[in-house]
Amino acid sequence: MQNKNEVWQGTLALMVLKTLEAMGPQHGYGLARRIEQVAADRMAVNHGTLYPVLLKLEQEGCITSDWGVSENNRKAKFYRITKRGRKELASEQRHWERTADIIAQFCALGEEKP
Amino acid sequence: MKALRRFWRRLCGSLAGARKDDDLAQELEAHVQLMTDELVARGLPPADARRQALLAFGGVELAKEQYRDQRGLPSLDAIRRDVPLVIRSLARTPALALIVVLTLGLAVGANAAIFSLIDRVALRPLPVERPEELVRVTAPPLPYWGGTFNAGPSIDYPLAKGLREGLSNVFSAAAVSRPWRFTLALDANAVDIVGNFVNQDFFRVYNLRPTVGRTIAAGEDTQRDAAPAAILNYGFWMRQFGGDRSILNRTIRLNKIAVTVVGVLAAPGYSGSDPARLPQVFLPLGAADQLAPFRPPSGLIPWDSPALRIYQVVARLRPGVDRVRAEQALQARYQVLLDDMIAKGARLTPEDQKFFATKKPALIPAGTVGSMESAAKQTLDLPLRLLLGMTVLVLFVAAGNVANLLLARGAARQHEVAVSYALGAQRWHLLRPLLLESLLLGLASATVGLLLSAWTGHLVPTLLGLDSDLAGIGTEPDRRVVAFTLLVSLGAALLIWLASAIAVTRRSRSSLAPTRPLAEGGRPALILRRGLVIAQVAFSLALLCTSALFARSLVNVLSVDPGFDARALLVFSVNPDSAGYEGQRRQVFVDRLASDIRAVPGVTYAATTSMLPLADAFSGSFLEGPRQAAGRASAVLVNIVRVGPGFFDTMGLTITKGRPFDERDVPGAPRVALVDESLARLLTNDASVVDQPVGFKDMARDMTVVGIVRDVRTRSLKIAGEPTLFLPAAQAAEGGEVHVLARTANFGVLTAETARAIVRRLDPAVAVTGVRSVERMARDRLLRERMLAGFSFLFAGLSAVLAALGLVGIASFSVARRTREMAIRLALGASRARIVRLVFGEVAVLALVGGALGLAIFLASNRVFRSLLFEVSKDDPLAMAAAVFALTLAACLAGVWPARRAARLDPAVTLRAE
Repeated sequence: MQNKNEVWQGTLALMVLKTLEAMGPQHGYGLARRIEQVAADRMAVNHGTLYPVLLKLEQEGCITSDWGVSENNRKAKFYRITKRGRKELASEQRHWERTADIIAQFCALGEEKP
Repeated sequence: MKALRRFWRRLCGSLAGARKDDDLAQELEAHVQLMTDELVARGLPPADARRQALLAFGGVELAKEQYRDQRGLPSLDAIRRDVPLVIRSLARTPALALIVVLTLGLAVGANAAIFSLIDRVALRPLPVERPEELVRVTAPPLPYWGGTFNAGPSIDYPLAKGLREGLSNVFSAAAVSRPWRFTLALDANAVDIVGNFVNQDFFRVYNLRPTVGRTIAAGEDTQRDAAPAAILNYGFWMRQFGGDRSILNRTIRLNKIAVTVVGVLAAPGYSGSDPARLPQVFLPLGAADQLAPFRPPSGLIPWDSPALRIYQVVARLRPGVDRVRAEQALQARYQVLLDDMIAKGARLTPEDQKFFATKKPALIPAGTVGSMESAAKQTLDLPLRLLLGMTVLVLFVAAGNVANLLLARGAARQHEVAVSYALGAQRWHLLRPLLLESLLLGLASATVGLLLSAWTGHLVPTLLGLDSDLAGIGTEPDRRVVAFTLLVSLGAALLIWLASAIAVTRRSRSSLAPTRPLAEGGRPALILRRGLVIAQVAFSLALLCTSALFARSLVNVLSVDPGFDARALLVFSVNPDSAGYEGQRRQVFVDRLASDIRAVPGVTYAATTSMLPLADAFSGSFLEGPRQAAGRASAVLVNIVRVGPGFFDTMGLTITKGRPFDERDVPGAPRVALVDESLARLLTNDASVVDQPVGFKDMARDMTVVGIVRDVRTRSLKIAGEPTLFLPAAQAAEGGEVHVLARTANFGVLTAETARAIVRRLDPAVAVTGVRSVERMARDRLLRERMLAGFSFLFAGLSAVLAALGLVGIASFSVARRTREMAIRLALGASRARIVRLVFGEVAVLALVGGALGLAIFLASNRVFRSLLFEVSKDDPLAMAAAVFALTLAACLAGVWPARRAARLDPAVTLRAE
């Protein structure tokens, strides 16, 4: 089984990309809040772990960043998804859906017996 | 792709990312601020809001650390942090670092020096473009007259041409060449130079372009009667003509024939040849009939006759063609030529057919210096490899010393290590700086080694008396040598790291107790240290035995009595043929020369000979005498020496029966010969061979033996009792070089200038070469023996010193370890002698075990030197005894210092200090 950290990092990256694609450019805090909202507060995102993930995505070229000004006039770094990021997102999404399907099949196995 | 991009960004981040820390701090602060703002908007007081925000964020510092880990490459960062630490720690103990670097540097330097010799003599590629494309063609001669001959290193021109014509799809060019010695007439002097008859393609194969004029033109190389064109080699042009460009179209005289200089090769010129026989001038193949005619009694044999198997063929493969495929094409083409010959009427016996089926032409890679099979390479190949093996052993011994030093240091740091572990360090965190340290030391010792080998490259051979032989072979390092040295040092460094890592990997619970740090290190470390010393002693003894063996071999060879006094015997050589002498005129010249030399005051005797004594020259044939005539023995292979009047007196050879040659033995008189005792025994049973007829196999038995000479070692110091036939030059002279021997009353009577002046007076067109004493010449021929004895002595000595130091080290360690015990013994009344015996006892045990192991190693591997020894068995007990004695001496000396320390122990002081 993979290290819990890594799994979380992988899913967090997917969540970040999806959020950026759906909701446009965001700063770090905004991303953290949006992700918590989408997860319907079922999961608490440790905000600190977001930043290494953002850096990794930036190193891979999936997102880019610029300094800008937030809603309440604070200087913040805004992140934006790139074309490569969109491609990566699409393939990751397909991969997750396939995985979820297969796991669902296996989980349903025991339940078929009357 | 993603990962590569990420790696690249992380690499950049590692090297330059520190500046971004500010940005990150700002960004994280902004994040916390935004969260605080939101909480304040929800109604929390600002202070609480901020605290809540920080809690929700998680650890800010942790986030920063994780960010930094993602940004850079953690391993690279760790190394960058460790390097200054390691350097500082080494600087704190400069003595240790210096000893390590010097010890390893010496051993690595020895390795580098020998490897660079091997590189120069064998491995270096020829200085041409794409040397890997060069191949040498060998093929057995076609059956021009029926019969088969084994393939030699040279082939005849018709075969070369026939092969070349059918192989243009695999060869882009094929060089045909043949070396020759010429006498160049220069002003009033005659100079002996080496030249090459070559074809046009020769220059293409070796990428030789002219800087002045041109090379051989198409079709010019086969012209027989035209005025020969000559191309000069670059170095020769610079040395002899001062780089004068007006040399173009000038005429020079080679072997008294006028040739026109049509070109000069561009720098650096041609050097793809035996360095001792570098050609200075190139002439077309066809010019050989004028400049080097082959004229046996039957008449001139033209240069392109199939009888002259004298040409070397080196071809350049087309790009992309591999040697195996080309070889198959070569064999196919050869078969075509063979079938052609059979179709034209050549008849092959079944044996012949089997011969051609098995002995096929071959292509040999010819791109390295070693592929020229120069005399230097053939002599030195095995000895150099052996010496390289010895230097590797020396390196092991040196590495053993260094490992022991580091183990001792590790033992002293055991406390520090235990504390580190207790604080949570991981094993790798402690091993990594050690690895860095070993690599740094390895690099430093590689540098020291390379510098040493470069500086002493000329010094060591001079000390060993080998400088003139290795003059053409320098030892300046080049790319391959540097790579080899780095490899070797890093290998040694890794081994050392392993040894020092042992001290670190043991997490001993009791090590936290801060008592007697020297006593710690534990049993495994002690066993390892003892093992290392035993190995050192074993290798040293093996090296000492080898060195003693080679020393004995050299002494044996040098003390061989050749049977004549070689000391006051001077020799020089002339080549009258290349000045146009032949037949009777030649003999008159030679005789005049001998008598003129005899006339020099201080010269007691002088004579000429066809064979240079003690120079390993052989010119022979099969001889038959009375026994052979009676069918009781087969013909004897004899060395034939054609001598002028006074030869036996000059050489100091004793005639045991009969008479030497005298005035009666002139052309037209009955042919006579002299034999040595070994030959006499082979020609007759008991009756004396004097006055018996002898003759060469398949020829008339028209020579009468008039005397028997005592056996002497004329050909070589290493060969005894070889059947030799002496013929008077007046009756039996052939062409070729003539050597003049002169016996002088003291040294310096006949100098090179005197000899040259005398020859010049007789005929300035004749060149003089090789003026030296016969003894010196014989000594020079023993290069191999001298090199082996000299270098192995050096290496064995170095190794013995290192092993002795290792013994000193472990004995001192033992004394330090058992200080308390010894102090107690002394206090309880043991005599100091007893303590000293304890110390020596330990050294003795280690030396004994190591020595036994060393002897075993030596005996198991000494088969390798069998071919290099002279009159000494590979298991020579005297050599081994000498080596054991040397080692014992070293061990005793090694024990002295620790024993004195032990003997000086004051029990009161020691016990109180504990």
